[in-house]
Amino acid sequence: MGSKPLLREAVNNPGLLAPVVAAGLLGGLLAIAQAYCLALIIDGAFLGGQDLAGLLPLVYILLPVMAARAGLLWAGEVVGFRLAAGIQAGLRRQATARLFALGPVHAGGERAGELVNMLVQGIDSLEAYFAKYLPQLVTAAVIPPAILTVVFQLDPAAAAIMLVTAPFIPLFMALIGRWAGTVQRRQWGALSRLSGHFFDVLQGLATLKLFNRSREQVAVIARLSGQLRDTTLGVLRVAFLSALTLELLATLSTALVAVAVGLKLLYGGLEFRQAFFVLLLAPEYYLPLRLLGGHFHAGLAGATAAERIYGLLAGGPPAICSDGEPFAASRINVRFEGVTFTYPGGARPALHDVTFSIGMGECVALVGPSGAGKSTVADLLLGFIRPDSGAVTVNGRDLGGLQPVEWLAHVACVPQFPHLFAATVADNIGFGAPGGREAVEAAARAAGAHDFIVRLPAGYDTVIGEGGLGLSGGEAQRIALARAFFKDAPLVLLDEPASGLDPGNEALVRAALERLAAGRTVLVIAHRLSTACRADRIIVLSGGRIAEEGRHADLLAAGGAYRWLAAAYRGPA
Amino acid sequence: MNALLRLVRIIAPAWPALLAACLLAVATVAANVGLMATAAYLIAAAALHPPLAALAPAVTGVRFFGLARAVCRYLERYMAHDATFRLLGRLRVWLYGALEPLVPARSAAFRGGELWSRFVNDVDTLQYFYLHVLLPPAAALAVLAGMALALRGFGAGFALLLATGFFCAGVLLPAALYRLAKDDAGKLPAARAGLAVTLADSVTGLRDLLIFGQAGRQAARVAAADRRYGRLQGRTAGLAGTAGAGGSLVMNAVLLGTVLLAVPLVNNGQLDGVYLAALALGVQNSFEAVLPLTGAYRYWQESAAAAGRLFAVLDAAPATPAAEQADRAPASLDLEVDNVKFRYRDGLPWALDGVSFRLPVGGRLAIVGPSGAGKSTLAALLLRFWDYDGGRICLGGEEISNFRPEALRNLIGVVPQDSHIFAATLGDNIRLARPEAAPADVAAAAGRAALGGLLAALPQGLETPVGENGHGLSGGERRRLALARVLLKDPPLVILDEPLAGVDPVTAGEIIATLRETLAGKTAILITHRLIGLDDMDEILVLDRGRVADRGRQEELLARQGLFYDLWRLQNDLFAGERPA
Repeated sequence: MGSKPLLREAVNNPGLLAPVVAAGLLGGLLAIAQAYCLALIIDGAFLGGQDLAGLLPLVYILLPVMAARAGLLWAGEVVGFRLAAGIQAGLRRQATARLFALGPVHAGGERAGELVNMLVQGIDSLEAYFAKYLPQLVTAAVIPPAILTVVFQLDPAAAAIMLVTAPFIPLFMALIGRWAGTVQRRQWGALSRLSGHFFDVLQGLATLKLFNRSREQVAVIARLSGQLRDTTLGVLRVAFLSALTLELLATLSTALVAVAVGLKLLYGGLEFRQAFFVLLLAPEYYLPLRLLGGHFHAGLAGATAAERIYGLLAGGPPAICSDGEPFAASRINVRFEGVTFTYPGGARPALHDVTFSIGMGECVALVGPSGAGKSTVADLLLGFIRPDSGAVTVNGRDLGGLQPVEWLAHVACVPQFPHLFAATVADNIGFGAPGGREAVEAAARAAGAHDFIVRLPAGYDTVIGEGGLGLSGGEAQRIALARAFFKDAPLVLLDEPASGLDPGNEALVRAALERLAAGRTVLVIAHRLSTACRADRIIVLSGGRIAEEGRHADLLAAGGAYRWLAAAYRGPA
Repeated sequence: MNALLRLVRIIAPAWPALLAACLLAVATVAANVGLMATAAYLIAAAALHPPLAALAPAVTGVRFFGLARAVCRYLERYMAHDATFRLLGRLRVWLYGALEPLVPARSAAFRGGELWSRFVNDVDTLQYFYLHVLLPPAAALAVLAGMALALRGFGAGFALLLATGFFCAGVLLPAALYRLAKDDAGKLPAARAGLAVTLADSVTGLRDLLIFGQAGRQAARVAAADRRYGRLQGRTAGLAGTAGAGGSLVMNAVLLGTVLLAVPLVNNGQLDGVYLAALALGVQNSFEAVLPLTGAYRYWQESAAAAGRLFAVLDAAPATPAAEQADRAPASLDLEVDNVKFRYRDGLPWALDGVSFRLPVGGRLAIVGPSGAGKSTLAALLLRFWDYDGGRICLGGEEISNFRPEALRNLIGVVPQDSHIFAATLGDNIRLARPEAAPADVAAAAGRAALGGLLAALPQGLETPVGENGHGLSGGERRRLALARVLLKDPPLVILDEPLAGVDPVTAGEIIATLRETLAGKTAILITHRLIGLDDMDEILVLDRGRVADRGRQEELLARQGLFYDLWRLQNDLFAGERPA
């Protein structure tokens, strides 16, 4: 049940683990001490005929014991949490570092949602494991043997009952746990299906209304709820039956111990004090084992989450490593020489034997239908992926040998769908870099973004992105352009917006793009004819190969792929 | 507080299941008290060496209570779950009924799926309101009453001491913790959301972070968000620890107090010493009923917050007042929109600002314009999802506010922009439009909407289940499914809201062809920002920021080189194979 990597994680943090173990151990010993004192007091009053004054010394011992037990309960909770929080923060740190090393091609895209889910919920679910399950595991491993040792010296028969019944509890738990896990999953499956249906109906409420079908859904929801109750309870009855077995084992064993020591007492084999002590210890003996059962699911969920987290931390070589040759240049040329690249799991190469070059200060447009390999060219140039064969060189040096961070410092990139971070507008443009507000404003002006930014509720300090103010597609585009102006890099990669712009925005973005391109080496993934015809040269990609290369007028005249691309859109109109 | 009272009213009718679960919870504690007290009595009696027969009742009692406790616990769990499921059902039915009139007009806050899922989560939180907030105090009170009755014979002091203990552990302690936790109640979810957003930014913004050399800074941000979240969580854990420690302290104090109270009574013979141990253990174990209350403050807080959020949404007034109009249909479908003004809220700019047009029966009107021009708003007004603020909309010469929204929706078919596809079979998704339709009609509608190709490729055909919100269907297939719904419903007036959004040019062309064929003879309004298939429209209305910027037939508009021409030029500048959204 203890997931190995998770246990190792705990053992690797001895400073955090030790107090957890100590709190559990001490708490158990104090429970035994309290039981002993109580047995002595009651024995003294009942059979010893002692009065309050005579019992006071024992009371004075009992009081700090009780206070210390309460203190330990508190401390146990706190140190358990500390252990969990320490390990969780460490894992999040490792996982994000790993994410940055893997790069967007290996860790982004379709897996993004799953990754976020794992980083937030997955690591969160470890809290119950470290804060609850693990301390309970420690307590269950330590306290019952200690109590057993004490009871054995007083009454071997009672100890035998305890010894024989105890293994049944973890055994049953393991058996039931495995089987109840299936049942529970099915139950949660049914519950989440109902939740899902409710969600589905709520989301589709407007659609239902269009067809005057929304009112009758009340009956559907009521019927589904009823069905769910009946089927789930049928399944749960079985799961509860397993809990019943456990409970029976613990209570009946306590009853057995009580009768056994009672009878032994009757025949003079034991003193009352000892017998009562054993009775007080019996529930303390079974308690840690039963509580462990209660945290069983936390253990299971933690182990499942851990598998996925360690899977991320372990798999694949990093694309963005920290070593490589230094690189510094004020102007850049680029050459792709026989580059072939296949995505992991891809059936055929995304790029096949592609050769082209971009001179210093030249503007080259990349056109082609979706899936032709345009973004792959961009990712190769950014160093997020490496060619399977062939080479990408910049200023005559192999890109693969350069230090990635230093190389990226020379590239500005305007993606088709820029990501807006949950931060202020100013921070989204300048990323807190030196240069201050003036530099950010200058970049925003150059990008044609200043006018709409100052109209935002808090101007440059307006928080945008997730949970902040929503910007339109054209506005987000101009924020991304402002970033590129702010960065002032010698190589610019543009993925032109294909949609979402209205005529007003389009003119602004186009003017800004032209200002940005001036004097720099530019590779633009063009979706518009008018962009392509302004470029110095056009490369037409098709199915991962270069189909044509040349100037707009020449390509149109040639009557090949480019002409088809330029004309086909008007077909259906 | 107020929200919780309303909640109690809503779940009140499920009281038999609730009561049963409560009684069984009491019985479980009682069995435990019985087990430990009888066991203690058995041992104390045995110490006096009576004949074995005298111990027989105690021996039987111990076994009985041992068995009874396990059985009661089992039944209690069963009943508690039964009660929870009943509540869940009631809550959902009630919430749905309250929410239904508010959609879509008052549900703008729920535009994103994320907010809907928060709504669903809030419901899930509320189903535990009973189990963790209502049940434990009721059970504790009942146990206290029972114990007081049982302790009466030993002296009033014992019952008073126990009541004090229950009050401290069940009322004072949770109240104090509630006050301490109050400040953090909103902060913890906010900190968690902050961490989630930072992490999501790291993953989805990874490309930009690397290109702009921000990896290190972002890692520091994640660490800072983690610390903030951890600090608040630590406080919560500290309070939870305090709840546990406080409960244990009170229980042990009452145990010790009971013994100290009893010892003089034993000394002077007022209390038979043989009961001393039983008294102590009985009192100690009755605390099982009150200890869950120490931590209940958190559930109280969460339930109150969830209920507050839900009621805030549900208390909004419907946008179109509940209809008292007679259930009758307009005399004809001649549509006349005259100088209509509308805005979503006071203070917002006009979404429609003086729009007028006429659409006779059998006519075809296209409404085009950049996003945010007010195109879809017009459709929502025709369906009476909202009522307009100025001007008139008339059908057959009578204002549409004279008709019930349901009557209008029977006459108007809509292929909406964001048609929801339910997690059901393809056939059921179409049949939604007319539940009583024969299977042959459903198949015919699917065929006319050009879904034949898709259905032929699916072994189960119309019986194929589609995933959550149409997962697995392409944009074009979703449009066709929505079209099939309208074709099955066969209304005289059809509104097509962006039927071409998100589909590639080839599919767009196919859909236009399908529409031309299937909508022959119907009155149609086409809302679109894709300027294709407009050449046979009787009139094109060009909207810009709520006003009519231009109107006429396509060739007139192109000749005039206004906004329509700009939009047209922009779209024809695209390369083939791109997918304008």
